[in-house]
Amino acid sequence: MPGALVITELLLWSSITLIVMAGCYNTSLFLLSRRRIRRSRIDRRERFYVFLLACLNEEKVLSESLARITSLPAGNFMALVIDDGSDDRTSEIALAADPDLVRLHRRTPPNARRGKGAALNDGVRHLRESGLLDGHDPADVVLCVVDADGRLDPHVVQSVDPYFDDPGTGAVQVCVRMYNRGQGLLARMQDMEFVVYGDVFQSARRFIGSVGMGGNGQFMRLSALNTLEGAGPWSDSLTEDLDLGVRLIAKGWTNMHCTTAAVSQQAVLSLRRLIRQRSRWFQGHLQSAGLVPLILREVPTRPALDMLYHLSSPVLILLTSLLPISFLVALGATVVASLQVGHPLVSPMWLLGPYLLSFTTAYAYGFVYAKRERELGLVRCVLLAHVFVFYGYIWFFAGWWGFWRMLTGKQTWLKTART
Amino acid sequence: MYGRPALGTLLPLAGAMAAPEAIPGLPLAKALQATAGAGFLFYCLTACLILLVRIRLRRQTQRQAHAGGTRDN
Repeated sequence: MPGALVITELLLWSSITLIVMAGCYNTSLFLLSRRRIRRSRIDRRERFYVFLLACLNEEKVLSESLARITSLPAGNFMALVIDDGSDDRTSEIALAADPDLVRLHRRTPPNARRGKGAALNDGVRHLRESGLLDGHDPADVVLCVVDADGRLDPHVVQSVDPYFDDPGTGAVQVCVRMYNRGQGLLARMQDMEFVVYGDVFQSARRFIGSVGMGGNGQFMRLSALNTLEGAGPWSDSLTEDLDLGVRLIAKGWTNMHCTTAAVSQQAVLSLRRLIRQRSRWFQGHLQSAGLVPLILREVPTRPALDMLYHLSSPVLILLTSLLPISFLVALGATVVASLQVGHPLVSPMWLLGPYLLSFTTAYAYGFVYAKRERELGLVRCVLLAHVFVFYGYIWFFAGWWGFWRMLTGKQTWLKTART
Repeated sequence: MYGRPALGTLLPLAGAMAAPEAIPGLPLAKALQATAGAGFLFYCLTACLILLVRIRLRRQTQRQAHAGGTRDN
């Protein structure tokens, strides 16, 4: 049946095209991320920074985060702890902090525990209604979302502030690191993952106009949030940060990524919990398909194409998850057949192609990571990046789990526990 | 969100396509790869449709803006 053979060949080559496309995209963004942005201060205004911490039972990590915030060497700021119905000591810890710099807003049932987006919206509402922002121009008020375990770099305000000199800047995302990255390979991989995402993909997107928001270490101009429609700036999506970033761009604001400051958070140390966390992100990413019409209507072509590719990446992850299985089946069958006939049926050089296609990125990512972790050295970082290639496979498991949850209509998720 | 690196970390079957057909298990491997290929073709088709919708929407918006501008004059 030559027709069937042609179709099979076409489909096999189509899957290879998928890999080539992803490879070209990654390479382009890597090259773009190497470009430098020159920035000079053009509008030195005094801005008021408000750090928002949406907390649900965060007694284990909150005091350290608040200590970091209250010791920031910046003049004009405060922190608002939004206690989302905690039944531990979260409120006590917030009240014990410096009352001039830390305020507490308690949410109680039935309004509490309705998700991070709802808690943040309520926090912004509280800020507006309590008079805490009186006398401040919304264009000069910057809100920063920090996770309860988030540890901001001391120079974060000084690093972020120049981006807001441009009146078109709506939001700035800082780098995300793992403060417990020394606690095992899984934590190290998560740190590498966020470094690669920030230093390659987010950095490149500054030139495309499609920088995304990450939920932790996300700075937003209040006047930009005021332009968003709805009950509040944040949606009830599982990935409300991604959603917010897209809606800001659609409103004509520019999102930036700051490479010179970071927020450090706690890496998940259990593989099972990590896959569950990523499943939640994956499901939220799938939900974000609802943003496609908005992007098509409102976003300029170049960022729109990148955002559409980004939003559709869950589909590509599900598709590509079939390829490693295919490779393993072929490899296993070849080894078994070789043992049966008593000699290798294919040359060991056969593995060179898959190695190059799979691990070339490891050299680029190792190089990027070595720039952040100089004490590890380039060789060690490249070796770690080889492990990172396998670590990336957790997205395949997380993806199918998240997809299944979406198909079965399951929306509720337990938050990732702190340790 | 952070899935992008995973896309560049595949172990594709490019090499296995050159392996002898007699190896058992290879048809299953090829079927899996072909399924991914079929899915990607469908993805490309959907992407083309979405881009066509965008072109149409942008034209509509431009036409409305143009009509509004003419009325203003």
